[in-house]
Amino acid sequence: MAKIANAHLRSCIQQVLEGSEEKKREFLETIELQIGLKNYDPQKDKRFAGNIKLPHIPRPKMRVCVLGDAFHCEKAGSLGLDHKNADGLKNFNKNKKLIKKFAKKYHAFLASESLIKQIPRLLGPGLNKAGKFPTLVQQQEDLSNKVDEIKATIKFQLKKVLCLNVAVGHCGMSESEIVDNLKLSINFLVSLLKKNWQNIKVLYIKSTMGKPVRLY
Amino acid sequence: MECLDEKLKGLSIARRSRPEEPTYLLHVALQPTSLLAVSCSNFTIHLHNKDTLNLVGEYQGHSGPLCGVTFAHSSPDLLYSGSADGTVRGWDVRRPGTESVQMFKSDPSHSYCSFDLSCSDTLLCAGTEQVNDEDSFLVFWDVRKPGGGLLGVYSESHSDDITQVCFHPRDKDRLASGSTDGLVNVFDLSRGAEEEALLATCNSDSSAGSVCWSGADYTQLLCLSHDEGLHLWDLGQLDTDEPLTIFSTSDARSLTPLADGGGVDYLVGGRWLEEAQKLLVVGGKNSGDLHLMECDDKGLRLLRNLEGGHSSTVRCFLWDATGEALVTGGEDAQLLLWKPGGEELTTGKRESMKSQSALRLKSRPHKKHGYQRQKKAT
Repeated sequence: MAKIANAHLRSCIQQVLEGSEEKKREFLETIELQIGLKNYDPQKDKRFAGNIKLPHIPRPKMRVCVLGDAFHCEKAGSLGLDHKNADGLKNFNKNKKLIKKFAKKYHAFLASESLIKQIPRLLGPGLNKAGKFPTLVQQQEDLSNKVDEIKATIKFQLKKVLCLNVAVGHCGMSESEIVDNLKLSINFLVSLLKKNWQNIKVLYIKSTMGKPVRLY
Repeated sequence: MECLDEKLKGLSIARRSRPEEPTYLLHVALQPTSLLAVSCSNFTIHLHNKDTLNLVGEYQGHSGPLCGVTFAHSSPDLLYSGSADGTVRGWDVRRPGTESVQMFKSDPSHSYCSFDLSCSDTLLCAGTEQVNDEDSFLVFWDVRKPGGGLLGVYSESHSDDITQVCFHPRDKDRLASGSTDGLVNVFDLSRGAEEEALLATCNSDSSAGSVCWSGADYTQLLCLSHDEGLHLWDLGQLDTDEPLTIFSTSDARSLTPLADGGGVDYLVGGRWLEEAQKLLVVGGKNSGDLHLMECDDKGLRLLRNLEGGHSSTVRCFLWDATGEALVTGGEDAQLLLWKPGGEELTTGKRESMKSQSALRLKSRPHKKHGYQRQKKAT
């Protein structure tokens, strides 16, 4: 990444990590990338939204539930993951409250092909409404890899103001892991902008409760 | 009969509309007899003659960004437009410059970011932005009822801005909706209540930007996401053991259908071409070059490059099957008509009509490959 010198990147991360150490919090602080855009009009330019897949998991405590066929449920069990099969879903009897509670228990869902097609019929739009509709996991895909993939994927969306926050790591990660995550997310987001770096006004990183440190 | 490949190979710019004002051309719709309607980022709608691209009229009245324009199917004098100002309006194209003749609204908090009209011209549906950080709605009106005809809303199937609403081209009760929550929902409206009507939910695992029906009997759905992902699903497999996904990529820019071994910078959209029985996907480079591609289970295959046309991002296109012409519109305020063997006709003011890119080309007379622009090093 030519625009930001490696040394500067590392020193910023250092500052954020040190800041987090100084004032120790009860919880594991997330590290966020804050992006300020310019030369971009949310009313007429193409929407800036999507998902980034990071190389290192930024939110390790993410709870995933597998809605699977026999094969995937067995695998899930062996990985220590919560799971449900078609019968398990039928047991909800389309009870909205129960389904809502179920959706709240987990951050994300994975589902086998055969089951994912049946979800509207078995559960109705409950998972849709909760923003937790499952991601497909195919027969041949390794379940453990898929779970890691889900945990490493971050959603970003610019609404009406010209700034965006993206979680890129946490204070328990090593400096080089944070560097990897930052480089990838910055390059990816810049590549989606029409004028690339000309659309970036400012970049900051910070820990959840810490002070922002200017990166660009 | 000439196949699609040949028709596309012969395309060149036949007409170029002169940019009056620096506005983005965001959506374009065709009235098969003679007109093109274009929505602009300054909240107006422009009507053009589809063969000469001459401006024949303008409609003002919307007070917020437009989310689409579409002509009624059987009464082509009626043009509909939707807007974030919370209205879907009907305009009489025989009287440009006049007020809207129909207006559809719902709850004052609703701001529309998509809309469509059913193939039977009876049902209008608009997708709203997220309201109160929680809900987003699909709003339905019966077009025939005077005074608005609000039928109701669906509120459970999406959790974020509904960016595309697309009625099935043949089945008046079938509807697909896409949202920034990543989901593409398919409904059978004849079943009434939302829970019964929801037939399928497909997950793009990103933020859905555009959705269109595809395939021989329109049983497939193409979804393009805002971060340049592409998904093609076959709804015919809903009740079988076969997977729904025909082709899927989280980043279409990593595919390499172009001659130089590279990919496009962004995707504009897709359209099923009935005559050719192919799915056309249009992609572009930030320089303004366009690439027409075909999409199937193997991915994207290049059909034709269109250079020297636009000088900035292209936002909309359509294929006029009867006229065998491609129309493209973009952020450079230009509306272009591409026809086989089209020779750009200029009328005196040649210099001012040339796009910025063409002017730049002129100043480099010895450049070997005139139409290739060098990528700016970052």
